[in-house]
Amino acid sequence: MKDCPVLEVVDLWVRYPYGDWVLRGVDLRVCRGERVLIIGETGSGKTTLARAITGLAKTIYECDVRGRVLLNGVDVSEKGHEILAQSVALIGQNPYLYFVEPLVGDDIYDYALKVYGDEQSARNAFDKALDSTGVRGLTQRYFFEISGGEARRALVTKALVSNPSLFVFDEPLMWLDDRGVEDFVKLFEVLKGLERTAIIFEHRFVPLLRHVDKVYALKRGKLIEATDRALSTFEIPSRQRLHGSCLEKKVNSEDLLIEVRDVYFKYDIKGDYLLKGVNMQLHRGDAVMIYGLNGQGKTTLLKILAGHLKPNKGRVSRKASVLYIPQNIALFYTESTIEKEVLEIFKARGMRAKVELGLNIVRELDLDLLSSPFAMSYGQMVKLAVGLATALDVDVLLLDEPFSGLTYEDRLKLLKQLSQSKATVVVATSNLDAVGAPYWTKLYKLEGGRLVEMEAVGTMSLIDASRLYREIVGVEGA
Amino acid sequence: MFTYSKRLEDYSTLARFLAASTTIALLLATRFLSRSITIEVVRLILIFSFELYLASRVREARGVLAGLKLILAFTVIGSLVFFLSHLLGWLAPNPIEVIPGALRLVAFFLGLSLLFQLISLREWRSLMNMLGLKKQALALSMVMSQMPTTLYNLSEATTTIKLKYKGKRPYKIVVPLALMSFLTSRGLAESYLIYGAPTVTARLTTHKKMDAYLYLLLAILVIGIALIDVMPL
Repeated sequence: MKDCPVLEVVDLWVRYPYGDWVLRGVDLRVCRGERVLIIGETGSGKTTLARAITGLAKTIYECDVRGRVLLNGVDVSEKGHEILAQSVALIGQNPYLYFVEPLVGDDIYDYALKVYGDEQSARNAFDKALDSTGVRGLTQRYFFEISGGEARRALVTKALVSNPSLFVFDEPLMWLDDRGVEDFVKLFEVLKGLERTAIIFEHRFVPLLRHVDKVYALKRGKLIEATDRALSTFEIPSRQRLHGSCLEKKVNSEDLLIEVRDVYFKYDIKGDYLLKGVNMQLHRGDAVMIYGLNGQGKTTLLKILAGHLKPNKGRVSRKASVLYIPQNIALFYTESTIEKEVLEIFKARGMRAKVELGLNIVRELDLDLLSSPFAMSYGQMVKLAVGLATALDVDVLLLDEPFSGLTYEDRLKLLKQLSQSKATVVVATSNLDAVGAPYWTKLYKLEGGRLVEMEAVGTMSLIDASRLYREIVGVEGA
Repeated sequence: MFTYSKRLEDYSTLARFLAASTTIALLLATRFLSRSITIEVVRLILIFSFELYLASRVREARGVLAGLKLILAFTVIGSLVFFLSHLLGWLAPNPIEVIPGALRLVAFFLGLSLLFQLISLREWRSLMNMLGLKKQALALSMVMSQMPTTLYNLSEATTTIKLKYKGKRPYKIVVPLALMSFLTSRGLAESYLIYGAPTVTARLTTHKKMDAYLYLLLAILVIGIALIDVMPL
């Protein structure tokens, strides 16, 4: 590593207005060309550290920031935004926020023109960046029509235009399917080839472990470097098929709740069918996983099961009450406090007398009844929604990508919670992590519009991943 | 429906702007200049047909109609309420008057969407900058860039809240959507600080060879609308 360091963080303390300290004395040194992975629980301060490094904590969030963040030896608070923006590139959780022009190519070229001022230099930088990441095929596509993985590649390309010293990735694997994860890892190798310095904040860290130079854990507001001993645990085979069974659910094959027969569906009248001849039976007690890459129609199928979308052809018969938990879990909540949330849902479903059951769920999850549901972490939001579904005696619970924002530990806990639920559960997911769990009564794969039964495949064990996480972070017990 | 399409770039900015804005101006004019409902309806149908023609040049015609479904649904519901009020003897306009109103609403939304389908965001920025509306140009860029995501969130929230409250409290979707808008605006502020606000504008063109065709169609529309007054309707 030459010309060390690109980034130096010294005794950094950060807190939001009226809040407690999130970061409590963070120290970090990142050298030129180095790639650093920072892991941590949801709410541990990963995004806050990313904001502090990029100078956004003070400007946008009006945080109280103490300590120093030096980028190429200069304090970020002393740099003007124009200069800072060209030195550090932030690739945030939602890459779609970083595009303005509808066409990807126009957007990147406009940015190049803004950075360089003249058309020739802008064109050169544009071409160079496109060639580095191989996204030329995306330039004539609308940014809102490309996948999450493609959007991140396009955004990295945009960032490369200004030749920044440092790339900061905030949860880059969030909402990516398995192919998107592979693409990101390849992109990361491209940055390595270009000798770029990068910091990644990610809780779904296993796919990245072999591609970084250092691993840190953010715990109680401080950074702890992972020991070699902790990382050597990763030598355990990462993909395996789990044996045994933790099924606590009983399937009643006599009680058919939803039947889907030869269903065809398309959004565009003239377009191709998204779903082609889909057949499925959901019995009471079933736990079904539908695996498929993004854009294969998983959400559409869930909405058909829910009765929200009508198929163009085929038949869906349903004799069940259904609850839908969307990928963007914040869309599930509507009230100012968790208590009101529970009261409203029980009232609306004619179960006012059983509201205490819902309140008990909140207490079991150790949540404050008077706090806002939007103040919960992603994991807490999912767990509360599943808990309420159980208390409400919902027949069928549909979950769209419930694992995407969860740590490995939280994924295991959610699987356990689902296995204890009386409801029939249907989970749509785009990554295989949870497929290996011995929980599902039926496994399906949705590909090319067809829904086919799938064999249980070898996947990374969530138990191993959780154990590794605990080893790095230093948490005792399961 | 609000995304720019390059399919009509053979026409100048001025011609495209005139085509889209004239339809909206004509919609407003017919409200005040028509001497009978029949004439007004015929005029509205002419304008609507012209809009559909333009929309079908930039998108598939059936796709345009699919996009209009929501507006049509609201229009039908509104019209039914008016008809019902009339039957029950409540204060309500003449049912016949509802027809041009409903048609105008649909045509107005289609005309509005054409302003964004025919004119690119860069062209809007140039135009607004020329008028000294730089901040408004930036706000417009921000809003339009997030329109597709917002519509997706709307669909997700509708399914979720409908099932959660068994269809009883549909208005509650406003809360999570408002929150998403707040989070999005903060995310956009982050993105603009890092990558800068959009400043690139487009060269506004005043004439191109193909313009004559568009002006001819516009002239036929305007003359047709004017001549209806002298027809025995």
